[in-house]
Amino acid sequence: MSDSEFVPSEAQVSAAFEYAGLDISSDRLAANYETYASTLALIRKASTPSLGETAPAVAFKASWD
Amino acid sequence: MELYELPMIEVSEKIRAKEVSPVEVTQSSLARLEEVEPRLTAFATITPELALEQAKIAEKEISDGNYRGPLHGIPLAVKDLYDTAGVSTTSSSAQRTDYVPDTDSVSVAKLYEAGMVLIGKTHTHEFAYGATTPTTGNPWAPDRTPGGSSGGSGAAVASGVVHVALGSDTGGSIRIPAALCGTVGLKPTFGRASRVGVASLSWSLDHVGPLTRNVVDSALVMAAMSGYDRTDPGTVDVPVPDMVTGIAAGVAGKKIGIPVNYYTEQISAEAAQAAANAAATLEALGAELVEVRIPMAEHIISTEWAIMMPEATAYHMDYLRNSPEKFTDETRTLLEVGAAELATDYINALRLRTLIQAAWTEMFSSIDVLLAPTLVAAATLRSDPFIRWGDGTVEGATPAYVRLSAPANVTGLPSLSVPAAFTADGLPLGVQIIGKPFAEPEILQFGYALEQNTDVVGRIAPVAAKTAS
Repeated sequence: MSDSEFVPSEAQVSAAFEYAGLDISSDRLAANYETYASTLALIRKASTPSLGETAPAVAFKASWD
Repeated sequence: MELYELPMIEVSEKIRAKEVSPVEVTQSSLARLEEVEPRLTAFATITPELALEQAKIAEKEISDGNYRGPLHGIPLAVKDLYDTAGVSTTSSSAQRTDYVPDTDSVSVAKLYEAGMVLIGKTHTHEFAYGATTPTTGNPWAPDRTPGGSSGGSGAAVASGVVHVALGSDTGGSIRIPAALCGTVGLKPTFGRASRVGVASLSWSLDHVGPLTRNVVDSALVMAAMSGYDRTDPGTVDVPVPDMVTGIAAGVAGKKIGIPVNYYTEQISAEAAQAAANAAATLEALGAELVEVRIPMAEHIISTEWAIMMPEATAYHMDYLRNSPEKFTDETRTLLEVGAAELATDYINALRLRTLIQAAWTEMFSSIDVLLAPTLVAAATLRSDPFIRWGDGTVEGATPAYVRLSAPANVTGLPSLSVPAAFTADGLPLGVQIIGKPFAEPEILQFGYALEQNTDVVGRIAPVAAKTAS
């Protein structure tokens, strides 16, 4: 499966919330699953292939001032 | 004519010349607030006692010959995300109902130093996480959204309560309400101004800046807010330019990029026409229009959300684990998504941002500025925050409004939204001028040229009981 086709299942989303320490009821998970899954799918599109040696744009203060 | 109805620079001149007192100006602002606030709910907190106290101090300073400049004695509204010492700062959230900061945010401290007077704190979409500000009405049609997240600031300026209100912009939250309410809105270059003391949505994408009635107001306020701050690792140690002196230099000979993709897709005919008319106005003033293709357009929105969401969740993680019920359901849901995002997806979005920045640098090698619609459409109904497109697609107001403003957040480039037209229904539309890094003076010149050659900048909404159709 390519990254662009990724859509997390309800079980995967539930496991991610549990791992993150969030208490999400099964009713809440079911009610919002479509929003969770579609947004995570959109986010995964930024994990595009062929980023090569590109460094992330981060704000670490290398100057130590 | 009431004092609040005059342009800010005319009020400033009257204060400088001691023709009016900051106390009279403040009283005029508070009277207008009292008149329109019941229909708009733009303010989370109103500070009349503090305002009059600050105004009296300004009056005495000016009387004693200590005039500080054109912002001295001018009323100010501040988004409720900004810390204000001794004044409730809720971020429009039940999570912070009781939060009263001890110190001012850096921006507020700088504007106090310039002599401004705090009228009150304006509503935000909860913690700036959305583009509709449900608490607040649009001054041109109170049943419509003012946009967000700085919706209270947009409403306060458009209704004439203040000439200046502060906003913050992570995916368009200054420019979206500016466009929907018919005000000027300036998102500066990432790094131009300190965010210290402003509740964060996304450290990598947050910007602070003003919403104002006229373009020169934004120039004055942005210059006063700007500058390196060692306590904000996002700020850059570059000189703060004079943003006002050359503002009337004109646009003759300048090259304006006109996008042929991205900003042209899934957009209302009226919004597209407003941008085309603005381009034609600038061309008639001697600028050259150059068609450009937006690079890496397909990655902009995914990059924006992939960076913003986990950063927002990281900031709010304690609340999310311990008191999630105090968030609105909308905010809570978005924060939950951020908790489920892989770290590798976040890092790859940051890597993609590096590539987008490089590609946009290349695009800007052949143009001075980019001109585009600020938004895809005018204000939606508050009760129905969706846009229905001709092809049957239904798009939520927040993702729809963010679409055209997010590129300037991902790239960090400065963007000025200026009122450009009114729809047939009487709702404002805006255009944005995106500039090169730290070129705020240049985009302000373009905005000023549009203001001087059109009749839609600087209007005050009547805030009538009727609503737009």
